Amino acid sequence: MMPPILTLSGLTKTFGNVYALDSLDLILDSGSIHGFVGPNGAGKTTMLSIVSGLKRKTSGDIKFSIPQNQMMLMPDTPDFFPLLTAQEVVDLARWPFRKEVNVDAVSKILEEVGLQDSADRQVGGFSRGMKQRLGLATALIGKPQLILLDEPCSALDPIGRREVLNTISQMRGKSTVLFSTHILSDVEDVCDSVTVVNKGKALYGGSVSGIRKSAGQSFEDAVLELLLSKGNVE
Amino acid sequence: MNLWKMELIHLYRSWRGWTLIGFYLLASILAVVIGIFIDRAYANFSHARALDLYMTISIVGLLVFVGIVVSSLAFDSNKDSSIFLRTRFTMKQIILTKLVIYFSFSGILFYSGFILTLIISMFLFDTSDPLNLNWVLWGIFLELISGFFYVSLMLFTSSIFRGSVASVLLTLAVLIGIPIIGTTLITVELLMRGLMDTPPVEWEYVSYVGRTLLWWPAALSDTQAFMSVTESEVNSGMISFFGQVFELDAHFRYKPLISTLIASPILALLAWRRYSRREI
Repeated sequence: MMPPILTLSGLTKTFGNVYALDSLDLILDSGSIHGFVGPNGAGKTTMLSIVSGLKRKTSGDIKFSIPQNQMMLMPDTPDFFPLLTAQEVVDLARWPFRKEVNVDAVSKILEEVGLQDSADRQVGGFSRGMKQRLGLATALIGKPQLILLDEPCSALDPIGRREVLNTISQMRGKSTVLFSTHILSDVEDVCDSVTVVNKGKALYGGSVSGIRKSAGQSFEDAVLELLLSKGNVE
Repeated sequence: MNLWKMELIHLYRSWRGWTLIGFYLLASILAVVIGIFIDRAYANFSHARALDLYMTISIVGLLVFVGIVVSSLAFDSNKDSSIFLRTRFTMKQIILTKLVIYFSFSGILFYSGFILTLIISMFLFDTSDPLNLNWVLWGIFLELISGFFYVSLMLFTSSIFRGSVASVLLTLAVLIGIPIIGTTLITVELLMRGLMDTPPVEWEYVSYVGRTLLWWPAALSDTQAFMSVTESEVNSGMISFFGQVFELDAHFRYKPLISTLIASPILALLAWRRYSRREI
């Protein structure tokens, strides 16, 4: 059995007296798709920032079973240099992996995210949804072993959301995906496991089905019940 | 596509690169045009004086360059595009690329304008008193060393604030503000001491504030005057630079040279410490 690709133990991040993360534990199995859900301000983006090295942890342990250059983050509002074309942005994202990934992969990935017709357009003219698709393309181009997605569907229309979720599903077994989202139905659709977090603390970590208290309870109701009972969400 | 191409695209698909080229070209053209008018009025306008004009007018291009570089170094001002870069490249790669591209580009523009002015003025103006190549090369060498201070200063001021506007304002405040405040203080001091009749070229020897300001690294840029030294000035041992006459001394501005060599690595290290510890 493969070791977990990522293990967080007691991960804590404070900003002054505010605990953005409070002894958060998480185990991410290799090849799985793991959802990370919680209300606004729960600590989802902070956790992803710390794991990707953009912020420092206050305390706790982070263990990877892969080299850190095999991890890629897509932020919640991806943005790029406005004068570059989509093709150039993805090619620039390919640069750290240029020995493993051929330049032909650029056009292919743009097609997968639905931006093939905008490949030669400058990114400055892109809508937020287009930038989000481009962000996904830049995260996937290097075929990283661990992909961190911060609300990858937030700016997408229903069709775009479905396409992105399909793309994420196809990664099962090939890469490990950790994605944060508000949209509980997305987690239920594609994720193998989920962590529910609020005020920096993990309230639940386990399988998607295991969160339900009863057979007839929906995933959404189960999460809301958890947040309202333990998480003190107002 | 790599970081180098990205920076070049940033310069040339926008107004930045073309504006800089325009300013240095304009400096060269203006130096020649002004020289023509002066030559018509007084005759025997020397080609070396056209170079003095070019070096002075090109200061405008330098200020624009400072704004462009500092705002580029403040790349963390856009959190999301900064995340794109920082998750794929090291901070060292990002900063080194920017510094090499921008400062090479600026150097190429400045010296291209210098050579253009020299060539045109050799055709149009008096060349009976030619430039002294040794002194020109010495001036270029000292000018390159003074560039290290500007590089490290801009790196440092960009590292203080995330925002590009604040970084640019801080840099300009330091570069322009210190000479202005210094000159004001010197004037006040000489007034108080009853020494206002002292020629400006001697202020740095007479004024305590002036003597202190000699250690300000940017004062090394005064050695630009060597880049237009002529044979007659070498023979007389005196150099004339915009109405100021002072001794032609290779050790001129040795104090800011020392402070440049000390301050530049310190500023660069402090900047690196701030950049490398910055969170997004």
